[in-house]
Amino acid sequence: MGDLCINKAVSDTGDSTTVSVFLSNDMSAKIATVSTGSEIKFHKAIVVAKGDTFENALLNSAFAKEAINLLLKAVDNRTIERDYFRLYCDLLDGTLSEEEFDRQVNEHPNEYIVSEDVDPDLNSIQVALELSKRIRNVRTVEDFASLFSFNQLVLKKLMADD
Amino acid sequence: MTKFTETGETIHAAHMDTHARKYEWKGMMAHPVTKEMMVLYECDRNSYAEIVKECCKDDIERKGTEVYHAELGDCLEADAISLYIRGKRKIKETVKEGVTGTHGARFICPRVYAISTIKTPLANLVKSIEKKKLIEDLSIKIEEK
Repeated sequence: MGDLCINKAVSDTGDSTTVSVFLSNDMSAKIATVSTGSEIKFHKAIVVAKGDTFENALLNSAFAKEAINLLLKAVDNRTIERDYFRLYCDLLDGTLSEEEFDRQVNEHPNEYIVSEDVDPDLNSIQVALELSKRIRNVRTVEDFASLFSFNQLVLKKLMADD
Repeated sequence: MTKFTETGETIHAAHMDTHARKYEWKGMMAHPVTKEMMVLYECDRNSYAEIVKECCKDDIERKGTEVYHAELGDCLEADAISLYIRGKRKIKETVKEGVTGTHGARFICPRVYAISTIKTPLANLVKSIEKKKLIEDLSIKIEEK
């Protein structure tokens, strides 16, 4: 069970506002009741599930959910590219030895090499195509595949089926 | 000794000569077919790649590369091509003026195993998806009827 807290304010004319707040580990709820004299005007309830409040706020449709997942992947992939170039800059300015550079790339490929291991469905490709119109330097199928980690062979098969 | 100009055409070689108006170094990527980690360049505008030394038996016999062109003199000519080069480091570019008319060109001549492919414009994928979606929507409507 959670905690319950009730606050009530009453004016001289008899109008009142009651705010009940309920808190638990999984959710929080706020219920506001505004009354005029004995006549209740309205109730307003706000319930927020904890843990995925960010997702709940953003993901109000399947399209939005897919779009956000793809955008997060794209950001991750751009970061991986940047990290490889940073590592290379360290090699060029002598901060990193050749052996250390090779070791880093060999031992942590996921941090420095973008993978193309996702087999996308038609819906994901459609959403990604919409997003790619608004992202810089996505001009070819190869750019598109590496940005969203899509398997190029799946995309090429799709085009070959036409 | 053939010139290829269609999207998706691929050559692979032990040594390759390439030139383009512009190169973009993309870092390291796993090649989509061989899965080997290689350095990727994207060649943009008036791109050209030619086999100057054929690849060794091991590379020729790699699974998935059967359709790749591998004869001496085979070349790709297109607006945009990708160039995967074996290794982890950037290769030095050289610049020459007046190679294609009044324009200069940049040269990258890998002397290690490399794979080069004519890139596919994104518009081709858009068209395919639109067509597939149309067929899907039509079949749903027919099923409903």
